[in-house]
Amino acid sequence: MRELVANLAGIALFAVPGFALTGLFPGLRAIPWIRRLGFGYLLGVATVAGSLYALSALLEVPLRRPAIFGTAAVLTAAGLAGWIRSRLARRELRRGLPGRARLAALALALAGAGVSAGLIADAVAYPLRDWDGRMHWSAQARYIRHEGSVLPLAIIRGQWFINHPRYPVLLPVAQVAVLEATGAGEDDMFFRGLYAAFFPALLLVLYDGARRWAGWLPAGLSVAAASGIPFLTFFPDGGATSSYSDLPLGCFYGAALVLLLRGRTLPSDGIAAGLLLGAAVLTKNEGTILAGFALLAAALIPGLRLWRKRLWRKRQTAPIPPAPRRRLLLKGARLCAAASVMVAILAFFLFWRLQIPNRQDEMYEDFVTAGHFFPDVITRIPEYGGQILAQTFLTWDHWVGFWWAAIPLFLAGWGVLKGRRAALSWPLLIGFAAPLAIAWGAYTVHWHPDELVKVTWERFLVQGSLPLFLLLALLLRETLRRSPLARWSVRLARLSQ
Amino acid sequence: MWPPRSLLASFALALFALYLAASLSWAALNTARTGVLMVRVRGETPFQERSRSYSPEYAEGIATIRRTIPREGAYLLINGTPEERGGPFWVKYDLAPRRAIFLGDLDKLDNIDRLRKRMPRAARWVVIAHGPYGRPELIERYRFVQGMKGRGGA
Repeated sequence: MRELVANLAGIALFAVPGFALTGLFPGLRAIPWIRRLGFGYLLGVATVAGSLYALSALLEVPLRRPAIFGTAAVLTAAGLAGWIRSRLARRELRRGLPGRARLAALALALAGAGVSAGLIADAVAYPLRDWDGRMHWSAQARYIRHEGSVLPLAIIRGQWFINHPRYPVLLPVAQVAVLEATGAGEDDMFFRGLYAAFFPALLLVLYDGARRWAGWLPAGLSVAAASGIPFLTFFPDGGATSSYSDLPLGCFYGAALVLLLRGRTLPSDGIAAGLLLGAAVLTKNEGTILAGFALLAAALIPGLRLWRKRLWRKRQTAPIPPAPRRRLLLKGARLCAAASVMVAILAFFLFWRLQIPNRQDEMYEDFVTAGHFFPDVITRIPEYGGQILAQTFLTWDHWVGFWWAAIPLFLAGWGVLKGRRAALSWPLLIGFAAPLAIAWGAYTVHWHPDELVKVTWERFLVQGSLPLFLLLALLLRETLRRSPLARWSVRLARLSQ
Repeated sequence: MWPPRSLLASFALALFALYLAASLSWAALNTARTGVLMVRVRGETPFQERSRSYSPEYAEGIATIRRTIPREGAYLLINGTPEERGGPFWVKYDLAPRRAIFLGDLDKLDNIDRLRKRMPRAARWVVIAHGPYGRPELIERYRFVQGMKGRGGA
């Protein structure tokens, strides 16, 4: 019982300030409260742990209870002030579902809720059993907690054995915050709920984006599909039961992408997206590259439209009409806001990293030479391609055959890449492909790519899981419209508009 | 205007329905199993939990080492089971925040003079990890050095 309460308290340490903080962003305030919880939790981890990271690195504030509760209280108060100022509770977006649809949506939501409860149960019943979590992330947390600093002696003195000492430590700091706040002993694993809660956060953000872009039925099916994937949930080396940073990174990156692609353009959404992208930077090294890809994906369609309008203007000698011009300007402002916040956080991360001597690290950048990289990027594929295919399609305990169902859906619903939905589907496809592009680069320069594939391939897929499942929702919508399987699919597709 | 209906769409949806049935059943089973376990093991101490999940010998060995090496202390870490790469990482994690210097695999340590140069004064103990969850060994540093010399590693 004590473990369960402490794990839930650890989740609340981030969920409460984060949920309050959504009050500062009009775009987030407008989302129905259950869906907003997902964004709130992610914002909470980003801001509470991020502030503690910065306070410790820049001002040497000890990571103890006064700093932790103080930070959470200040952020909660700031968020509440935003709520009071806006009095937006009345203006909350409410789009009710028809009766039977509500029942179906409830059943699909229960799948996600049930699996999330199972993850919390796992956090309470077992100690940490994963590989990277114990080799790196949680070990870092123990050194940080002992000295109350993000620059403990074990990390900044080069003689001590630390794997990947220059990896960012946002999640270890979040672990420390939970352990300190709950007064945990040496072997109490109260931080495991923090990781488990990323899974329901992912489902809520997924449902929010998919509901808006594809309708409730594809959104619900997409959430159910994500709920059943072992690698996202119970898999001990990368799922929500582990303390790997891939799922949190995937959540920060994917949620930022959702905010940047929303049709309702508010520059304040850009600040929220920038905070989430900054959290991605502070979560894993790949986060910086993914943040760049997210900004690129969000800029792609407005950029193409602007370019086409310029061409059109040259021919027509008339100015761009005021409404589209305003929309483009707002999208530009949202993107600039996100990029500014992200770059400031990246600068902080580089400052922290400079103080740490590197050792026990792969140092991929040292292996990259342009002369070798460009033929190798193609010629080395046979060395690891087979391993990727085997892991993706033939490992039942990782995916339960998900990819066998996803490929035909892509073939049947490829129409989403054309027409009105292209403005969404292409950025989502780029968003999903970004982690895979990083994987491709890493496998190209690694000395044993087949071995690296074994331990990293699925984790790259997890990093791109939010854009993947959002794209799946669009594909499901299109496929439902095309299917002659049953008349009800047409009625349901209509209902789901 | 609806797009043309296709057989491929039906096939894709049927496959997707199969996937949902299989994966959600699996997830429900796992959730139920974990929930039952959570209820069954309620009231366990962290030590009992670790003994159940790792092994009693491992949990006991770590507890003994923690009592000997203070939290501010340091130790030399050696992998006693070279074919098992994870052992030293688990021991290092469980002994953190005690600081470690990793000397490598036990069977590759031969030149004791070269080895001594890598041993800082602060590290007065040697910990040898055995397998994933074998009992880790704690040896005083000077005894370890004597043993290595006796083995002919000078």
